[in-house]
Amino acid sequence: MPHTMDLQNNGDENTGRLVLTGEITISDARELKEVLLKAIDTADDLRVNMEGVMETDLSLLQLLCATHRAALRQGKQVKVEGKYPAAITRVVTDAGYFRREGCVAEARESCLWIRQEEDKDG
Amino acid sequence: MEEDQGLERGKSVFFEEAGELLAELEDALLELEDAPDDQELIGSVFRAMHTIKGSGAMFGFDEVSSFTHEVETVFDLVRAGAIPVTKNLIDLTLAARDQIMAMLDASRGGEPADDERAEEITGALRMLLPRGGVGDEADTGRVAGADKGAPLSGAGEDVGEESSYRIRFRPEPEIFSTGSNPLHLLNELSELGECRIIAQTDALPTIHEIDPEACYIYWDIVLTTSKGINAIRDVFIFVEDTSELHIEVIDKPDATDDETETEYKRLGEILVERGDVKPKDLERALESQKRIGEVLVEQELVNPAKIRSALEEQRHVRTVRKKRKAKETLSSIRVASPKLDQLVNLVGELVTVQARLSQVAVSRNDPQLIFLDEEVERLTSELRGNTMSIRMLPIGTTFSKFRRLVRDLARDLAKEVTMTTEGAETELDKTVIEKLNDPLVHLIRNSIDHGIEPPDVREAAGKPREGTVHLSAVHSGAHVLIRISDDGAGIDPEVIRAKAVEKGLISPDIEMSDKEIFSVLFAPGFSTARTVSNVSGRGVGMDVVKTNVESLRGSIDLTSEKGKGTTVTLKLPLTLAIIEGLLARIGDEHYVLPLSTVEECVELVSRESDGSGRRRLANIRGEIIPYIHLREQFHIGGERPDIEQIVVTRVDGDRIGLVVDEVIGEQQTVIKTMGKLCNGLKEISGATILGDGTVALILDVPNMIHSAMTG
Repeated sequence: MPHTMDLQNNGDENTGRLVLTGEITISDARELKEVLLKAIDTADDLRVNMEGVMETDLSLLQLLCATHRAALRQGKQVKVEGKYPAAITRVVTDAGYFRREGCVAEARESCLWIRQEEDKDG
Repeated sequence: MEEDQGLERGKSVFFEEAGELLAELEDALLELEDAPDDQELIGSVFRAMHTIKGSGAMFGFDEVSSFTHEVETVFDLVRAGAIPVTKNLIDLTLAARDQIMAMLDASRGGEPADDERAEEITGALRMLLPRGGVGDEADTGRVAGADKGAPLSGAGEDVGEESSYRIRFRPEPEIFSTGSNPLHLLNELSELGECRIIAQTDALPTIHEIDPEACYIYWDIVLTTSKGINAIRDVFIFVEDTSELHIEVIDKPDATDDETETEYKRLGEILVERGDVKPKDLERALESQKRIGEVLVEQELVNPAKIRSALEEQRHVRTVRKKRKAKETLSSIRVASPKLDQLVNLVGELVTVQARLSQVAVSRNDPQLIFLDEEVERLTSELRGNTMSIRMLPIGTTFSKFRRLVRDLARDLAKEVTMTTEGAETELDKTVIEKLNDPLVHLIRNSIDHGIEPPDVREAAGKPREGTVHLSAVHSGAHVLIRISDDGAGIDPEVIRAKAVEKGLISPDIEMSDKEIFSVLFAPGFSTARTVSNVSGRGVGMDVVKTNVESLRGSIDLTSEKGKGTTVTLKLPLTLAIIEGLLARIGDEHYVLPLSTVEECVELVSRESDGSGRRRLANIRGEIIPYIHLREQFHIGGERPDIEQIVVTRVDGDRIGLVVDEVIGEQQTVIKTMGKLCNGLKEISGATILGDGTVALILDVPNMIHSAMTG
């Protein structure tokens, strides 16, 4: 399945918007890393939209977390825009990745995976 | 021989359990209709089918077992998300449930089940299966499934009791390139039991340093399973050599026997056990009086994710222990209801004997005997309460049965109806609940057939298309009020009146209040249905409902507003067997008045006019209260004493006095029904045996007043 990783930059405000769609898995990890590197190096405020992601795996979560970590160190922001698609929530749930607060002290509130509600079956 | 008996007993247990499972199944299906995505409900449907199939095969009900297998197959796929929950699926599964019921009845000697119907259902169910041979597989799978008798899902056999495990799984960084997906391993793990998975990401570098194809994440897992540690190891069998894997038992069933109860280790303890915090650091952190987790994070001895993981473990084990404890305490045994009835009878006799003992003790004036009697009285009263509570059942079981009725009726009549309930936990005597079933069915049918309008009519009247039937139960003193209300068309008093006149039930020129007109509805032979549908209006009218309710010593009341809806209220006594009564004497005769109707007792000193007419008036603290002279009412001879007593009762909101010679006192009264000869006596609801062995009649106060007023 094809995928797109569309990065738009607004140079004036130093904001960036990355739209991911389609199938993004381990075989696309290298490509995604390059896009994310570019995104975080060129923008202070990065929005990632994953609403169109159809299939994915752990590698995507790792890369987004790593991006977030780099951003925290540089005093930048990374946020998820829009809804989490089913493909993402499945991986996040299966991997025990949803959390109530961030994994490191600095990311307590800005963590990308803080869930809004308690899990029903847990 | 013994084995045969064992098998027979097994079978009867199977029938009972299957009945319960089918009831649960029905509930789950109806709920599922409203919430088609609820995995828990889908799971419970599947489990019910699975259990019926398994135990059916065990006791030789092959037909039941193989039929159920078909449904189970479908729900296995529903569970896996391969088939959506549709109305059609629910309809079919409900039909399948009825079919299983019919099969079970047939094997208990009932009418033979309709084989063609079974074929129809299985045929339609197979249509739902995705293409690609699953349907064919189902046929062959049946044999294999029956042979093995093993559960379809979940790896490994149960090794008995549930234990909790703490697992830390750190795969090698190259795990992605070896083709293993750690998520699959985690999924397999969660199928073993209740599982909490927490990803630890502290090893994750920033995007600049990361190797995008390596795995940096490791997992803390807390798993509660009955499959044993080997089943857990099996999950990791292909990655065990290259990964770091620690599995520890943290909780066993017997661990809760001692005083630990549902508590679990403290946070610090868990962290040290896991090796996330050094004991020395913990000790130091404990010296400050703050929350240990916060201190450790502040001092950067551990990261928040580790704390969270440990807290999760704590929470998980606590819930598991609580559940286990709840299971232990809620364990119940099945008792045949005749045994229970016998117990109630015995307690009844004991209450009677105790009353006699009290009388003897008082008359002998022996302190020792009086002391003993008081002890016995206390115990008897407790025993009575306990025994009665065993017979009490929540009315919710009956309510949920009606959901199916409402659904099917609405479909047959092309109406849209939902049923809402309230107070399902209200408890009533088992016998009352059983006898209540028919009247309630009738009333609900009436509501849907006559009350709720067709959707288009409702819409035109500015109401929601969907009508509502609301069932509620609420305690009110010694009674339970059950209301059946609908938001349908209501009843037009004029129509009822015209009909009643036409039927010659009332004379055309009589003035009547709406309430009086509605009471005509309960007159024998009254039915307003314009056409006789197969739902209601088959000649069995409201009068039958009324008789049924009255046989339970209850009463029925109807209110209705044209265009807004109708409410029927049933007022029922909590229990049928023993009541609190007030014992009174007239001449040599004793009578018991149910205490629930009694408000107060007052002396009647000055004789009022002894003229004719049974109704008199007494002035009690300025209030004029009519009274009935029971001595005259019952034609008891002898002289009236100078000072009589009025027992003031409240019936339907009116205070009415009953005059007796003497009020003796409160009395626990065991109600004995009287023989057929006394069936026509409306004023008497039963009899009881007093302490000295004599018989006292129990007055049915509302009926008595009614007959005194009209007679």
